[in-house]
Amino acid sequence: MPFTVDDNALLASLDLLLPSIAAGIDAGLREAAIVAEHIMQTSPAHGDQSGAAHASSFAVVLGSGAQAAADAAYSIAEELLTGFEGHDGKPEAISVPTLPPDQRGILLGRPVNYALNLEKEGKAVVGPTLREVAEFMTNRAAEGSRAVLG
Amino acid sequence: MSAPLTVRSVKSAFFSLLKTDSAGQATRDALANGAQSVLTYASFRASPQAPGPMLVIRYGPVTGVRELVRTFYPTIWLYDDVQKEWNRLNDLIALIEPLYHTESIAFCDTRYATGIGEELTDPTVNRPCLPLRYQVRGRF
Repeated sequence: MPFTVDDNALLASLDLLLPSIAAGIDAGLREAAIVAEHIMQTSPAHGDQSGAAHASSFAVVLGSGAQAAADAAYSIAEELLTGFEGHDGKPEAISVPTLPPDQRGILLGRPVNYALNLEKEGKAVVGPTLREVAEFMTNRAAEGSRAVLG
Repeated sequence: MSAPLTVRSVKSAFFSLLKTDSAGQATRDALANGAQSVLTYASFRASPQAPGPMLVIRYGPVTGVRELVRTFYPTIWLYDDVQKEWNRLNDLIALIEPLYHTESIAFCDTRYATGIGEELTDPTVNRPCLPLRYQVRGRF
């Protein structure tokens, strides 16, 4: 005699869980972003003559609020570079990408037009920070998900 | 009954393990000037050319809310004199690591966050350095 199970109710319940799991992952990623931002803002990899490169560095979970974070960072760079004559660097706006609802990401940014040069001149911050926090981000996302599931 | 944990007391406990705790003696013995070579970041900025090797504790962000669990992210920056490069700093890691384990701060869970960072040169003081990044979780 075949043994059959109607699993529609089970699948429906799992569907209801998905948003909670995503929220848990987002919470974990937000914490990872705080750490990544701290690493970038305190990195001694370069001298940061104006203070703009450090102060405007940001890390944010992609989604609502991300563009606002990028805009706020741009304002900081603009403020610190206005009137600064130590080099001819300028603030440079960062356009935040949009991800499909089932994808997650963290944006690391430095809204100055010499950020790329710093990365190439042995004064890199974004790349090393990403390397340093990659595993940590994954762990935090997993822990956030686990916390929701109990 | 012990006093409740606070952000300040947890920061102090993290610092004291290296600065004054008997467990940190072997580490202090390996530094240029013993306990004087264990500094907060503010003290380091005031005398950035103190002899190496030295340890600079930088208190990072504190996340979360007390009602649940907070996480504090301190970093121990190892600095040495330029001609020594990173050799002595890498040797110091083995002395520091045993100090910071899950039980080392009462009622908290202490462990590496991102762990051992890259070897860097701090161009503002022209000295080799590398970070050990930790996390301390607890209700504080």
